[in-house]
Amino acid sequence: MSSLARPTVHRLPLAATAAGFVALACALLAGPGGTGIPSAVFGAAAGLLVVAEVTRRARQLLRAGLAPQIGLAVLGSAVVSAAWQLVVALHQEYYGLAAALGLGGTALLVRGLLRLAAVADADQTPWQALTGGPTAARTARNRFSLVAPLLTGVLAMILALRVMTLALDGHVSDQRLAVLFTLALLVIYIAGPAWALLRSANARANRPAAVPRDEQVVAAHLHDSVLQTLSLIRRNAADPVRVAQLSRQQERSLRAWLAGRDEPGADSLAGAVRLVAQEVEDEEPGTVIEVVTVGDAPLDRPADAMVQAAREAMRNAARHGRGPVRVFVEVEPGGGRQLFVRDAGDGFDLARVADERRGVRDAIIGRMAHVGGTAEIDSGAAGTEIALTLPLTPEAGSADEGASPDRPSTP
Amino acid sequence: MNTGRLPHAEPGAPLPTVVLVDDHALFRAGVRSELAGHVHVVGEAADVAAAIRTTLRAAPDVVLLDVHLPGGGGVAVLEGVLAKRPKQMVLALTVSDAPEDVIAVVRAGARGYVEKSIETPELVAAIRSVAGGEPVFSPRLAGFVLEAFSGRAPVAAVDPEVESLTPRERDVLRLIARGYAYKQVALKLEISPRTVETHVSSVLRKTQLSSRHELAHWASRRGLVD
Repeated sequence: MSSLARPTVHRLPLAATAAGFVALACALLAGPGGTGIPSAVFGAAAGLLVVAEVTRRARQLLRAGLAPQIGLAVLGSAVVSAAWQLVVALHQEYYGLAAALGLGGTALLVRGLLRLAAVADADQTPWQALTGGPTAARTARNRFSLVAPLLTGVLAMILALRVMTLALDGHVSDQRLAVLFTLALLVIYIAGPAWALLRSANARANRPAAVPRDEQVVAAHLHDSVLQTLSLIRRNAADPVRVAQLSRQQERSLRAWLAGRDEPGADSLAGAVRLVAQEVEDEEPGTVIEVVTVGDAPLDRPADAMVQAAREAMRNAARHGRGPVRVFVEVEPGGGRQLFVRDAGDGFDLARVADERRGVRDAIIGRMAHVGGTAEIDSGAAGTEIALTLPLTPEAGSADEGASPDRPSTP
Repeated sequence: MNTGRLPHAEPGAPLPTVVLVDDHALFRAGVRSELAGHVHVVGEAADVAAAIRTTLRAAPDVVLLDVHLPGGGGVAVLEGVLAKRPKQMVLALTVSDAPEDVIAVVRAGARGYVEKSIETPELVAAIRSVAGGEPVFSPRLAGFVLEAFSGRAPVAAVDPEVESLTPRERDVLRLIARGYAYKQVALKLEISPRTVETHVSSVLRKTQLSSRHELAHWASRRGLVD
């Protein structure tokens, strides 16, 4: 609670309520024919309470700017009736007592309802707030602070009615005043809670206003990306390869956007592998490359060589394999790095595929050896897997500097 | 998936019964036609409440469950169904590749997780495996679980004190992440396919158990439980 910011506003209702209850005790002890002093004290306390509540509410309203007309109307009538009750209280102790109880009770009730409404704004129903529903995470103390003003308020209002009937029984001298007073009390009873409920309904009606902004962002993104791609796809409907390529590109970019990242960056091993997989997918239309990574590491020279070797392995798999190409990258906690490129094809015999031999030997095995790593090729009936391994040797490859990362993939 | 390509059921064997849960009617229709002749679709649902109701009424062998659903997501469906039918087999089928989503459905009791891009024969095989009580791990799920148990995962971290993976279980998960089917994993590690299944079941159990512990830990930190 921000009591440091405005301490007086918080203490005034407390002091007034305390004074009010002391006065009430005095009045009750003194009996129906008691002196006017307790009533005067009581009336003053009630006035204080009302002023404090009005100040608080006015500040809230000024800050929130919610339904100012209704709020001001209720505040105005509360101030007027409070002043009037204060005057009455000085002469008619029963009316004063009833007025103080009624006003104090209403103030407490309104306050309690507003707190409930505030809790309801935090995505809970008032009932959940009271009972500590699943998302409530409320302590018993919190619940008490919600229920106490409501109970006290209702109690005070019932007492006010009781005192009122006493006043009507005992002092029939001024019937018109009594009727007027009862009417005023009733108006306050109805207007107070109604205002609180209205405010809470207002707040709830205003809450979804935050969502459309997000929706606008989503809509804008969908328009720029998905809708454009869909129209491209429609135009290329006769070209299945182009359609597959377009939808795969769009899927990747949408996934990246949903995950809150931009297109994969090439500053880490995992990011660079994803990027290369996308490039190979685009080079070899119709290919799907699924990348799974565990852990990540900075893209140093050996790791970069590993990514370039993986590019060659993915190209091979895309050209000769069948089904999706699977890429698995694992960075062990100790720093060792492993990368596997696997396809479910029938496998290729390295000795027979002359064209690919050079690419495999130079671009994969040679490149890995150059940075102190190894490349193994396991080709069989279940498919082909190329395993690239970089043991933890931080010095490897740091000797030759100045080579550009996007050098030609085959020397 | 784990049993390789099995385009048709063995003659005479009853088709597994399936309930499809996905909020996209188009996707349900697609899966239904893909699976025609391989499984018997006994119900469909598009939201959490309907999914729980339909599953409890139809009592299928397998529920094919989308992770993202209106009304609480796949996790809410799992909670609602497993509270009444603890033995219900559920296979998560999703486009989501967010680790927290995937780990969450597995923790909530899904027996497997496959991506929506899965090819039909593999999906059929996965449904049969799950119907038979075998867990189904896709390469991606294997990667997520490895990551979660390595203590590096930011969101889906599993408490490493409760249960850690044995070296053999890690080997199995790594091969699955590399795209090996269960039979191929068995060949590669020179163990029986039954042993591979035992390892995968054990990993699944550890993933689900540690969630409960972590949940209790989380709850006590927030003062909900003494």
